[in-house]
Amino acid sequence: MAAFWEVLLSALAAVTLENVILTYAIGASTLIECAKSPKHLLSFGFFITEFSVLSSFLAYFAEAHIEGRWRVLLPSVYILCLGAVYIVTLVLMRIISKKYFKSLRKYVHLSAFNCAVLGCLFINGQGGQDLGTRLLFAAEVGVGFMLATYVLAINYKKLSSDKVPASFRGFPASLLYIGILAMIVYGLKI
Amino acid sequence: MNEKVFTRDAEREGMLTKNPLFASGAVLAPAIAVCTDFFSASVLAMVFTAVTFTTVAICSFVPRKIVYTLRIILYTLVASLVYVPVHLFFMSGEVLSQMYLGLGIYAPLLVTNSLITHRTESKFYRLSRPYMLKLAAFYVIGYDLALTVFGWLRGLLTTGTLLGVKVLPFSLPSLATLYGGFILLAVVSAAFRWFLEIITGTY
Repeated sequence: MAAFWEVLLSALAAVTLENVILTYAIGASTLIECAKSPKHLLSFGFFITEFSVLSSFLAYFAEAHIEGRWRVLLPSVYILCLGAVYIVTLVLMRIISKKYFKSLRKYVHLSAFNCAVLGCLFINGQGGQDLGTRLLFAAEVGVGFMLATYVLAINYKKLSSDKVPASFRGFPASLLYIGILAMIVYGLKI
Repeated sequence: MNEKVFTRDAEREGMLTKNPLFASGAVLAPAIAVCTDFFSASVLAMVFTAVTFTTVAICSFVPRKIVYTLRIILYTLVASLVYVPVHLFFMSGEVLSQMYLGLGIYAPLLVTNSLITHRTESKFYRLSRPYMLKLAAFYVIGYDLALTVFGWLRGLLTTGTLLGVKVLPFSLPSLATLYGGFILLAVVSAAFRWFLEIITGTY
């Protein structure tokens, strides 16, 4: 049991300290949007994780064929990888259940082309790590995004309430809140 | 409505009431992470303008008959292809390339900015092309101006200097960090809303 808790705490520490929003600000706009309606947080987090992991997998093999000056085309290659995962996800959902497809496709659309997922591919591409490390990082991006959204969502109502001065209400207060979280992570990392 | 009124509305919306950076909170990551002074802000604004406006203009010719899924892939793919000449241009000059390289992954990340992935479908492509191009231009200019002001202010507060001359009796180096960026943007955004309330009566 102690080993389980140790693994769980290590995973939580990794997800927090490697959080792309709190360490790179990538996906901050999407995070604020998602925190407004946290009802489908799990679905959204699942799709972000899925897109990060599967497109990282495809990008790993695609990158091996792009060298030298052609690396300027990497963003296009990443978009094609994401596009492939996006289409396959929608087709599979449609086959599995029309009901789920209808209710969840909005989250698939929102999850596919956002900075958190593409940022994960770029960060992975820069590091040049092996496939396992990349997939692990991609999973951390998805779970970290979900965690950060949850942390913001639990206080979003308060940050948007009438008690907050009008000019700070909502978006600026959320930014302040994320900034303080980023400061904590920064402090933990050094 | 005549054209003057249309232009005034587009100008007001893109630059003030729905300013992408200060009011709508769009394309936050590059502003917070790498926009630490006037020069980085200017380079980022140039890349953003070239990629976003060109993509929005080109993609307005994508037929609406194509399903949404494919349209979104096309938009971002076009943006990534538009990014190629932009990248080559910025890499051609020595000074410019140094500043451009400072943007790191945030420059290519602009291909999935929300003006391309969301605003196109929810707003721009529902309008007539001439007005849409005008509105998109004002959104882009609004973001650029906001970015430049933010970068200039952040640089000033971080170092206490303006063009190498000490103008402030203090400096706040932590504003150059990521969390400093979040906090300063929150304060500037609140100040912008306050200013907006004074001139328009709403935000």
